[in-house]
Amino acid sequence: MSKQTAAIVCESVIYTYPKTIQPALNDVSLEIPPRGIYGLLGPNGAGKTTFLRLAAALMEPTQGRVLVGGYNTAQEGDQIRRLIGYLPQEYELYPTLTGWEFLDYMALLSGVANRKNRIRELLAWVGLEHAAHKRLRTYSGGMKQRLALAQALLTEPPILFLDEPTTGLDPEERLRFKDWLLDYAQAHTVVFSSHLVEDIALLCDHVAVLRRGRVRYQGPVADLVKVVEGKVWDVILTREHRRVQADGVVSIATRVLEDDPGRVEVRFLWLVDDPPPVEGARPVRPTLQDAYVYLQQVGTK
Amino acid sequence: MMDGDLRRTFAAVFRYETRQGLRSPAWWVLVLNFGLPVLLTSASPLDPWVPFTRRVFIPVILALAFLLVTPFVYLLAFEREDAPGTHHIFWVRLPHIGGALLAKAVAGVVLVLLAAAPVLAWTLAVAVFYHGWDGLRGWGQALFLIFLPAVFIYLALVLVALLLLPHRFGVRVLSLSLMLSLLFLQDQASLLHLWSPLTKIYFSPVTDLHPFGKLLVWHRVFWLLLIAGMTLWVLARLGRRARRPLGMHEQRWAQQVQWLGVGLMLVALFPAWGFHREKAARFYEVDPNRTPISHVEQGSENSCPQAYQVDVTFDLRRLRVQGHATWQGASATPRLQAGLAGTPVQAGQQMRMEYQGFPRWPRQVIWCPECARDLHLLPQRELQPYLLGWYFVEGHMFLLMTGPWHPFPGCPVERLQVRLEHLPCTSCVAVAGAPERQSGEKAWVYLWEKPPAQGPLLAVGGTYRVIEQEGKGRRFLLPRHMFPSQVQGELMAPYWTTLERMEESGLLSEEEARTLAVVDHLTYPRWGQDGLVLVPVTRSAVEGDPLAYQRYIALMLLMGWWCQGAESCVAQFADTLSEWESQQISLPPDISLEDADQLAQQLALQEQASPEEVSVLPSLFLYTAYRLQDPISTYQPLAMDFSGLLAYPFLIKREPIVLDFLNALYRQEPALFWHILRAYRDTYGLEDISLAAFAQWAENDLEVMLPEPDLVSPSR
Repeated sequence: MSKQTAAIVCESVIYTYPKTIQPALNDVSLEIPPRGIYGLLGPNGAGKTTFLRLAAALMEPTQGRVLVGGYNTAQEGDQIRRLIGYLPQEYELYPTLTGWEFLDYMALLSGVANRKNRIRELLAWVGLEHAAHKRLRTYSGGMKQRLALAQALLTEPPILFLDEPTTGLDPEERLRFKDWLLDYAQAHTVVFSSHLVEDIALLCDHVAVLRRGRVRYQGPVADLVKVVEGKVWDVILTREHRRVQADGVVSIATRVLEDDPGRVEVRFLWLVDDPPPVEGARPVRPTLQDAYVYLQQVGTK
Repeated sequence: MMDGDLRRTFAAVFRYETRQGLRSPAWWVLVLNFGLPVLLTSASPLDPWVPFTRRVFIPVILALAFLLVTPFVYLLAFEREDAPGTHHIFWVRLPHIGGALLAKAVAGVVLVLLAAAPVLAWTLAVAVFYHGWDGLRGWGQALFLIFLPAVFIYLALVLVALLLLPHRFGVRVLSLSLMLSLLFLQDQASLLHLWSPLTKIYFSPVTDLHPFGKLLVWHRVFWLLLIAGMTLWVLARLGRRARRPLGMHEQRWAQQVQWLGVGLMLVALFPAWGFHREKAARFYEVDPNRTPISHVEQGSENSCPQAYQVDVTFDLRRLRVQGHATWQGASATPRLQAGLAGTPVQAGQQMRMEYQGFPRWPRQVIWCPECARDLHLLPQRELQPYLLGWYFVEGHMFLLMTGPWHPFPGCPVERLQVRLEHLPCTSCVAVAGAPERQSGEKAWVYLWEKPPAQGPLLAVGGTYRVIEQEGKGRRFLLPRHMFPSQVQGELMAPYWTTLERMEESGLLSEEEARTLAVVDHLTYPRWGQDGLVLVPVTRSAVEGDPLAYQRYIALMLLMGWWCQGAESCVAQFADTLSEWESQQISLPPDISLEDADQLAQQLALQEQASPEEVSVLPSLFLYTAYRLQDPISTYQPLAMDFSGLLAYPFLIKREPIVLDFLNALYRQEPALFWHILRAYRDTYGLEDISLAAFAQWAENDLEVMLPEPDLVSPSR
């Protein structure tokens, strides 16, 4: 992918928070293609939120540069703000405003044309018409999350940053949201951060896996499993002796067998080329979760 | 594009900041801050206007000062976007950061104004009522004085609260705002001297801020605390923010603001120094070189030069005097007041002396506990009479010909030119005689071809009203809101007490004391420094500026009239009033004054005059003003406590008044008059009754048939 066609380009970016030594992002280079959903996957503290803040021109990189829509975040924040919508991971909404007023405020700031219709449309979409004129202090966590999502979409931005957007949504809302997001991403660029592998697997075309500020993997989601092909094994053990202990073994998951509660199926990574020294172990087809664990634990770039 | 962004941002942020502000509990607290003092001090809508106004104004000003604390309350509002992530929602879609900052600041000020609106409207109405449209200006100045620092603080706090914004504009405005705030705060009193219109407000009785008032002290304490608090707050905020994500620019800003905080702490010490400075300025040592009045009153023929001409310039802003004098006759010895210097140079037959300097005033600081106790005004009051026949302070100037502002005070001047630079106002100059006047942009020049030999020459002032009288020059009147206890306290008690004290302390001979009169109209003596002015009373002085002395003379006469033992006082009083009414100003013989004075003193010593009787003097004073058709009487009745005067209701109605009636009765039968008056007081004390009730009471209780009012009412 050339830099001209990428929606977001991140070049050797280092970002260190004040009064800290360890960089939150360390030599991160990413290219996010236009259109589609790009996932940022990693545990808490991996640098996902930091990356989104940098991309939203809310912070400047300590080193390197970030281009969004061809604009440099360090110098051209105004232009970038016109391109993006942003849903932070955590926030507090104005408690004395109503849902409608909050959206109206944000729409006024963004210069949304025909904003009443747009607000009405968004409120309907997030299912908050009934609460449109209630003060935000009375909203539940899920309602606030839906409203915050609505504000991010006010301008129907070409580039949308969503930082853990499904947090606080109930299962039904999640499904509806994901369904909508897939539609939206057909014509827009969505950067979606999550620590849930299944969300990424369901939604994203491309993914970057972050660990402690470094990119462990970037590329198509479908190719992510390739990094662990031949390295995932499972074995049936008794519950008493379920631990697989050997150098080169990384436990991934343990499942109690339904037909024999006294025994468990243990799934593990075997990082050595020879067969694992566990009797009965057999190789299995890896999943994204396996790849994620691999990248977080021992994976290589 | 940018302009459109600015407008859009401002409109949106202002709209929703205001809305959120109005919905916040802090705003309602603010409303109570303003409203409660007014409600609590408004005991009755029927209260006299002036005391009520004073009671309203002072709490309002205090409340406005308290307003400066409210930015701290409003920090909650400013921190709306400071919660994690929230500022990202806000700022990520903000098209113009400067517009948002401005809108937040303006919305804050508007909210404060809305909260204060009812009280502000009320005080505005009162100000206009008492001061006319001029009051609007003063009102605006007072509010400006109070609000300006508030606005600065407010703006600064908004900017500090939003310090994280990745925009250099914020830091620049922040720095500028803080600096301006500090400049303003470091010592308001001294800064205000740079701007005389504000000085007047600052020293106005309306705001009750004056150099000797506790309010000023508290005001300054407040500023000290505010600056210190703000500094700590800034530092604390920065400390807290430092734990949050900061960009590189933001780190640099944080460092800048931390330095600002350190500067704030240092500057906060400055007002403290203001206390010391002000205290030092309030006390003057008696000048051992003080020139007795008698020495400058009148030059002897031998000591006065010939062809004496003076050309002098007074810079009322810098308080600098510069002039030159020419004369003939080398034997005369020029003498100037301390602070002025010059050396005569002989040029042929003529002597010429250039002189200049900043005059120093020999003042006597006299502690006047009686004033405090009696007047309940300022417990730590000092009186600083000027004895040398002139004074020259910020915004005020008063010249007697006998003042040593020219080399030969007391000597006749053939030609005199006085140039006034930096006049505080163009309508507050009063002059004696008929000098030729030239006015330019920067100075007014008065030229006397025949200046008066003695007496008042020129006065400049600002707190009083100036009224043009056809054919009679200008009159200076006391502010309309001054009420009797003040008149008595300001104009009378200090005068007497001062003279007594000065005599007791040997600073003033008895003879000197008798030659002093109060120039009550020129200044507003309550506030001290340029307050009480004592000038020699001479016939020529009265002729030079008659109305200036009328009140004083009238007061003396009224005192005499009120004393029952001096029948001549009543006749004198009535005659004088008649003459004044016909605008034929004449001065009663000095001996009459002395009689009146002695009689009053005698009464007081013999305890024949009750406190109530003494307290009635202001009413009589007002009555005199009324009879003189002095405009002051138009307003005063509403504000006065006339409990000591029987004629109260009639004064307001302007019907034939009891005082007239009694006076006429007195002129017919003095003994009956006193009999009735004493009996009335025994029965009713100070209670007011109508004239009809009065007549009925006299008939029933005293079996005295009073004549019809019309028959006894004197000519009016």
